[in-house]
Amino acid sequence: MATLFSLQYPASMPDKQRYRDSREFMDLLLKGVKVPRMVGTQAVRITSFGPAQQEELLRDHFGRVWQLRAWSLGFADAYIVTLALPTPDGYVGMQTIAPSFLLDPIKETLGFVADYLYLSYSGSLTQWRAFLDRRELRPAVFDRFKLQYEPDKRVRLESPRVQLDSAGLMSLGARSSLDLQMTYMLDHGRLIWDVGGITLRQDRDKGTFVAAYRQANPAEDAGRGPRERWEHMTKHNGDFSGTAQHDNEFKNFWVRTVAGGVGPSASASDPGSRALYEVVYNTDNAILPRQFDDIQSKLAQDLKITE
Amino acid sequence: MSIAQARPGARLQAGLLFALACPAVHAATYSLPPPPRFDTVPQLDEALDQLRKMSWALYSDALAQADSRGRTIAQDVNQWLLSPDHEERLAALRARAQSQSAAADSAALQATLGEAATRVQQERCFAAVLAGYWRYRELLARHEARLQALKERLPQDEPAARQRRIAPLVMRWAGALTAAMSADSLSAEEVAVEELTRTTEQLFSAYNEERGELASSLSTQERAQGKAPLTQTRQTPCQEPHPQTSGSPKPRLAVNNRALEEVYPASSKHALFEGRTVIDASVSANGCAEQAAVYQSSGVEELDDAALRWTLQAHFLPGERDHQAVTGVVRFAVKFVLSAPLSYQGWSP
Repeated sequence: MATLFSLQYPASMPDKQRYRDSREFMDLLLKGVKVPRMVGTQAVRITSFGPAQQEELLRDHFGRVWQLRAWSLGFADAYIVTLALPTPDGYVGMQTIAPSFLLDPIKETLGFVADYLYLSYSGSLTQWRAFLDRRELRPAVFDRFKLQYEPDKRVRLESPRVQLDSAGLMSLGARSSLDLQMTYMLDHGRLIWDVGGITLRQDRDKGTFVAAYRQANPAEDAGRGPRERWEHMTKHNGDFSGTAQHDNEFKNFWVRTVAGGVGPSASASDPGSRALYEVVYNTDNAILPRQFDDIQSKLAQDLKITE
Repeated sequence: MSIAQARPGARLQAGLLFALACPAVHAATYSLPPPPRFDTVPQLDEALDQLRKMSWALYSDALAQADSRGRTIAQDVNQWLLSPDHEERLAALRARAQSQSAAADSAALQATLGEAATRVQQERCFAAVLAGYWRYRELLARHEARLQALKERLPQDEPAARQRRIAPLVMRWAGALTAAMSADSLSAEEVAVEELTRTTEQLFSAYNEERGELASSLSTQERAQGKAPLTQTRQTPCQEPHPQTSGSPKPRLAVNNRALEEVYPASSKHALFEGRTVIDASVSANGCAEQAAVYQSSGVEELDDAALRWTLQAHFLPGERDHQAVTGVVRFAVKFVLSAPLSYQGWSP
């Protein structure tokens, strides 16, 4: 049995050494995971194990790089084992305690389970920049992902499928965040794992964001819902009319539209490779209609689908 | 064919064509909001927030079709409501008021807030004028649709003649809107709104008159073609026989009939449709309308229908021959005229 965990570091403090420091990692984990040692009749909580005694990198079938670490619990003839995936804002992973004689099978089991863990990648823009710089720890899919961040000004994202420039859309700062949703997709008939959704938030705790979500052409025998949604997307009507909307209180404003459909995927011989992007801009800033219209115009220019 | 208009209480003469009218007051309204007063910066903030909400409410109004200028309400809102320079001035006043409030300079603060109130009032007036213009524009589109439908049924119509009456008014109306939205002071705004009001009133009158004339021609044409008129036949028992006769062979309307206002369809009133329907009523010897037929349509089916219904419920004095009450047919006009100033139900600032 393993415990799933998520560690989040402060958004404004990227630390290149952090992901290499197994002591700091475990000390932080022990603040949330209680591991006691019996001293006489008293259970004393352990606050540090020091550096890991065993450490190796493990690559799952998505190409994600996990850090497999083990610390000896000499007093119990066991190991505490973690399999942790570095993310921009920290880690997600699994932790378990393995009797010494089962250490290797348990490490293998954790590696097996890693293939079944799905997650989105989130973090501040500073964290993302640092994450992308840690080449040995980032998934291979990010090799072709570029991020240029000019603090307090703009961010430019570029992947083989999407380009986004935030300059006209929102001001960015230390509280801004970027979320990438990963998904399986068909690429020229080949099943790949790639970025399927991008959400750039002005403030991670507020409602101003721009998002692009990839939508593949549903199969002919797909349900009515996905087929109708695809129809609306191709015709730019229904929910995807590109009309500015707001709530009844005039506090939240949004527009939903569609991008793509003109690149290579549009003419792909395999219909399953055809893709459109649902594009959403939402804001809870006090904004006037003409300012929102300006943003809509810029959205059309600053978000480009290149597949 | 001569038509006498009758007001309530006026004596109706037998043998004539009558017109029944509601008391007529016919004026368009663009009601301007009362001026605001701010004593504190938060009150100004609240008013600015309200202005922003007003802009959105108008911007996202369902009236998406372009008007005669080729513009949509969203374009008008973007150009005229809280325009960048107005917004900048209000922001500067707000910043000044904030610093004066922090410095406890109440005299200067009140002066600044007073200036801000004037600017806020101007924006509110702009919003009220735009709201009114576009609501009336939506109603005029319905009038235009009726006119178009009649025109299609009347091939010999001369649209050029009609354009001579309506087209200049439409242009004047658009010009009056631009003047009202470009006024640089509240007094100039009031003058411009008066002109806008006059033009709106004239435009609705022109449409109502034009439609009436077309409908009249169409009725004549259809009669010549032998087409059966719109008719309603009594389905309920007659009222008590009237003790008097008209004193002539032709029946006539009694004076104690219910007010037309009671049958004026609400949807027609809302759309500012006025009209005159000429009715032929077949009146029995006991003063009861057995059947009513539209001799001349108003061009609005629901007004014609209301006129027929009113007729079947009306009291008549039967015709008389040789001192005996006799059956007969009387022709009269039922005129639906709005009794209240033109106004619209809906959002207003």
